[in-house]
Amino acid sequence: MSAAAKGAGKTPQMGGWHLGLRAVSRGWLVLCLVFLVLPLAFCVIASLQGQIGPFVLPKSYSLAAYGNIPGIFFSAAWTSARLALSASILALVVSLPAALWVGRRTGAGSRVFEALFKSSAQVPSIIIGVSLYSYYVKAQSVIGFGARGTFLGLLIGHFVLVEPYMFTTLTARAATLPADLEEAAQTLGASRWFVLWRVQLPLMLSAVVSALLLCAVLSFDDVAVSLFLIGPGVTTLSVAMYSFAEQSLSPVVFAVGVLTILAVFVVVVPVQRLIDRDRREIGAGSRRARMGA
Amino acid sequence: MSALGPLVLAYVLLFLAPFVMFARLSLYKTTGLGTYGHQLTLVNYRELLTTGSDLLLLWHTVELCLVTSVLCCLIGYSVGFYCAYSGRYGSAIFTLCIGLVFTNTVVRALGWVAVLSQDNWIVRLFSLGGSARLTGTFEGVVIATVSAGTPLLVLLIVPVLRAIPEELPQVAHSLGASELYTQWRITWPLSRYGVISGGLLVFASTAAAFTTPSLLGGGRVNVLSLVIQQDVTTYLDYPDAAAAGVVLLVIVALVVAGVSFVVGRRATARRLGVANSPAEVEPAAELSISVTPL
Repeated sequence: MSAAAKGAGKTPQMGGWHLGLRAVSRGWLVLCLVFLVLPLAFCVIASLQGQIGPFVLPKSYSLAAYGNIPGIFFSAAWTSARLALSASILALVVSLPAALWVGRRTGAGSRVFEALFKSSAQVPSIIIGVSLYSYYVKAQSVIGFGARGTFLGLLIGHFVLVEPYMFTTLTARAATLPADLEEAAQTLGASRWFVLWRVQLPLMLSAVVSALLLCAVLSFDDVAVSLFLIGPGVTTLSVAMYSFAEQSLSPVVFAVGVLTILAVFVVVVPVQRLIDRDRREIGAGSRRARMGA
Repeated sequence: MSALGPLVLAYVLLFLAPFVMFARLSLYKTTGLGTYGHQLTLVNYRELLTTGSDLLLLWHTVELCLVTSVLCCLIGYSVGFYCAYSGRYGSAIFTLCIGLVFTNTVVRALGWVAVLSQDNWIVRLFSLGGSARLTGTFEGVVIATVSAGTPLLVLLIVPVLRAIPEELPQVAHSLGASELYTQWRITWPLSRYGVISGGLLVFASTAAAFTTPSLLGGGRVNVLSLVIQQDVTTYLDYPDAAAAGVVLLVIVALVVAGVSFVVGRRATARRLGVANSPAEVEPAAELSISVTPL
């Protein structure tokens, strides 16, 4: 049975039909993977083109596009980065107490709050953007201050967009926190702040980091909300790329795209893998502790 | 209670209030560029739901989302199955999917524009010997949205598949079941709800997407989200945008609720208790849009 023990679906194959099926499924898998990677590959190719040719590959290659990236993309990237960071941290600060509150309780009341805090993920994000836009316009006429076209306005929009994901991740982890550690700390005289800062937060750290990463990426990639909340001098990278691409498809916008792809695969993915491995170990560790104790 | 206070306040002020005001906008009638009367009327909805061209628009939207979700499920399940059960390249492919999900949708759409706007053998392959270019067509948009939604589905399915106890397929094999039979009678019923949940997520995110149809549709593929965007940025027709927004929301909610209801009534897998431990599931998987599998 050792062959079967190596993983489900790997029976000892006997016979050409099985081998043929294997080959077909492998071929299909390769096709699927190529399908997924194709747009990225072509982004790279398109950014290197010297001149568009009628075939798959351009006639000449050059790196000129990378040198010609307009400054607007860099300032937009900077705004996007600041926005991603501040929206995620804001979401964290506001969601953490709420997640700890909701995570333990299973009553109807906590369910209602849970639904409320996830509500902005239930609507298409474009609605968040458009409704906030008209909200700002209205606010401007009523109280004289409009966040339309400002960083603050974008921040609010991204906060609303990103918050459900932060809340869900934190709540899932808060639900598995061992309550006895906090109770022990409290019986030993710890204040609520101490319990939060020195007991709960370190235990939730991997979930916090993972949620921050997820929210930062969601905020960075967003177009639906940002498109309506940008203003003169304040724009995000995705919106800049989108607006640029709507008018012309020069290699420059592909070059920006390739840089984005590189940023994702070089920075974000390894961090995410580390987080996942760490979380799995925590999960296994807490299960072992519970079974052993 | 003070733990919840700030968040509740934030939601009420920054999400619920704008949303309610926005929905109320849909009940006004447009009187000019950017202006509207303040009498409540249902004319926007009537136009949206009865005009021939608008009904076609609704149908295109639903069609795009449905086709995308189904294709994503098919492709995503195969890739996810391989990821979950084959250690060798499985984790590399999983990492690839994480990277793809985190990549900008605009970038991915641009990549497809680069592929599909020229007359090359890839286009010929996709259109099965048909048109010379696939930008500006519905098929082109579908290709791009499927390639955008599949990694998400893979990320959602792999934890579900991994949560199935390994002994079950092994027992089936030792009792003489073929691979196909095992998949059909054991693996699929246990992972069915994860797939459906992922499919609904893809449906909702495709309904909300407008950059992909915009860049790949070349103005000829019209979906509700695009109409909303154009109404607000170009035509300044806010009531119409609001009505379209509400209709979009209702469509997504109806489909999600409908599928959940149909599926929930046959929930036998519930009894087998195949639940994902929270510490292992990707955050996005927990954001089930009113479908909690099991």
